[in-house]
Amino acid sequence: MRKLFLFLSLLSTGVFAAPSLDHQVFDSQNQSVSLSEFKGKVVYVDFWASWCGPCRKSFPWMNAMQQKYRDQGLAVVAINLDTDKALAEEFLKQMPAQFSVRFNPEGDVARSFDLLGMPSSFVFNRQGQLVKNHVGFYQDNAADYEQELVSLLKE
Amino acid sequence: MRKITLIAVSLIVVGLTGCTNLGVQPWEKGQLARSDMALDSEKLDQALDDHIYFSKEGSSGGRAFAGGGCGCN
Repeated sequence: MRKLFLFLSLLSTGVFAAPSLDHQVFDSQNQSVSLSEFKGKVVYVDFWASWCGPCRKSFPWMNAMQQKYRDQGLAVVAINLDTDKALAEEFLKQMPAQFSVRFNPEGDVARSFDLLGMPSSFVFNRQGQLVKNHVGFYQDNAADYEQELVSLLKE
Repeated sequence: MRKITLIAVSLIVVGLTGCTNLGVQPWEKGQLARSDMALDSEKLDQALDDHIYFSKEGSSGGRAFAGGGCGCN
């Protein structure tokens, strides 16, 4: 009986999971870490993959944001969704990231965040609440993205 | 009775959750994004295919919308 309920709850986890910082991902050393390590900061969570063109465009912007607002408490966390980590490392060699990079090859965190496209970004405030999310990265909207971060950092 | 309820409940839950994971998710499109997966990845191959197709149809163009292969170009 208990086993059955466990099994059923396992089935339904996908339905109830929601974007939050309480998710486990891998760091570059393949250690399982929680996103909650960034709690207390304004967290910009970005989902990317090596094969995704717009992701490539977002990297220089994320580098710039991290550098500009690090002292004010911004954490940019880019979660890679490649099933093959070697591809991600090759990408990172071409596009060095000066922010935190995490890995979720299983895609279960992506499923919980219910991504609609690639890249997708989620902005959390200092209390760890989801404030905003964006599908895709558009250079034209970069100023708006930055403005959101600035107003959250001021809170 | 208990058994029937149990079976009914599990059937309902399985039915409700069974279709949550259908299809390719946005982050699973790595293989589809490969350049050799594009419809026009092999230009020469496509040119030859076109040549055969248009010879047979007596038309040029008409792979998509305009020109229905009437031979009147």
